Amino acid sequence: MKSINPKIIYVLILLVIAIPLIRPFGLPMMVMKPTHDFFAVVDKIRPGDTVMMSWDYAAGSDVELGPVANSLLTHLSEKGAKIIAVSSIPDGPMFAEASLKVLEGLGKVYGEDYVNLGFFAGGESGIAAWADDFKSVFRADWRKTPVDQIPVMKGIEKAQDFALVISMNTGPGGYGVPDAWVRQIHVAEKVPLALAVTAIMGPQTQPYLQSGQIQGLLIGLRSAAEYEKCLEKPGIATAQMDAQSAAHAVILILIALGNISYLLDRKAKNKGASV
Amino acid sequence: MSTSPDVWLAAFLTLAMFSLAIYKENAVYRAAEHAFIGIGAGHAIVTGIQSIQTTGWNPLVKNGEYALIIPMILGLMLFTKYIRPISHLSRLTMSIVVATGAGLGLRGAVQAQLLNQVSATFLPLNSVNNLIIVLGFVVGTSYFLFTKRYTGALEGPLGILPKLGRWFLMIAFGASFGNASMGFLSMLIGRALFLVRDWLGLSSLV
Repeated sequence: MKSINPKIIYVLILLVIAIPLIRPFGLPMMVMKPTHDFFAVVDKIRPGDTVMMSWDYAAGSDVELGPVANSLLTHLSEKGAKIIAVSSIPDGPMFAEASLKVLEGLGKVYGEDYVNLGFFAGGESGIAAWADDFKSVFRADWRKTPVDQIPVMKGIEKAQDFALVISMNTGPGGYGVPDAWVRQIHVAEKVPLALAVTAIMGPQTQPYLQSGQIQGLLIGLRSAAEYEKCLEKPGIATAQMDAQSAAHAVILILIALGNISYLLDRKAKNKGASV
Repeated sequence: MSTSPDVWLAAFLTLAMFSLAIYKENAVYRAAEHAFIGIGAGHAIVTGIQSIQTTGWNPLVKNGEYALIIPMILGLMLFTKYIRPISHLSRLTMSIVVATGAGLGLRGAVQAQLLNQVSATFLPLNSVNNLIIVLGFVVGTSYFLFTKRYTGALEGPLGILPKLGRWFLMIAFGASFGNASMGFLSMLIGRALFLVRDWLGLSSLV
């Protein structure tokens, strides 16, 4: 076991991941309280409320946060919310465009029900700037239409005009980190804020939920799958969680085998030494 | 199997990246890695230019918002860093950027990251969860008390606090590491899904 080539383990993990993606197992899954709470916050949105969603992630986090964005858009669309999409990192608007196709599929109209305003520069300074005066930062949308000509932008002047702000955030590598959103949106503007973060960011974002500074928190692929369950629309995240569970099972078996092999080796050595 | 050249190119680049782990460092892997960094940098530059156009140049030229000349000049001054005789001018812009960031950050940092989080640990000891939070906070903080050594009067019963604190910290780091490993697996799952669904057409997941 000790002399096993790591490349064999890599290929094994890849194969174990691929099988449930081709044919999902449908493993049972429990919905945790934070996901329930997030779902309840979105469920309270009234028809006509405007919700800001910020795609603060790049390619590396799309697999975790992309399904979250799709589920949230489906839920918000069902509640009749208007969606304003923004991004604090340059790559974000591309992923926003990809996710917003969900709304197109649900019969929503670009410009009337939702809009993608694209990237805003400056990270925390940028958040503070649009929170005070929205149109000083966003003058045109991602398709270069002036915001004054976009119906969904009517009446949006500052952060308080949003019923809820959601940042789907990749963490310290980004420009508008979760801490910045909490400082500028929750503390300075007193606007309800919810975060969806990558699994790596989970432990350091959780205290904000515990202290009531964010209304909801979704962490990684697991929460995305749980949200799909809450929506009763199992999708890509649910299947990916099967792959995640299968890979974890193999890793645990390998850890157990490695330890058994080590103990047997040690026992044999001790026996050899005593002879 | 996909017939799109884009998908084939993306699949080739994905496999090129995997070749580092499954085979060894090689020229194809390095080419893919450099392409990834180059595309990312190029995209960021284009988005940055578009942002300057939308929020700076167009309002200045088309709407006559002349006040925008000031931030644009300050932005250009950043590039004086590359012209030795006037490189000091870039510091002025940098100082404004740092000062603005620090000022805005401080506006909410004390409340968001100190007061609210400390007050969230003042909980009634009426559940196991609350007990763990309060205990973890007290012993975790005690681990970072360096004003007095845990000797003499502090040794003995109180000496257990930082030791327990270290255990709590280790459990927290373990949870972080577990989440990190889950995040890395998710990335692998994303690429595996692309290969089996978009490239090979073996999965019908949507």
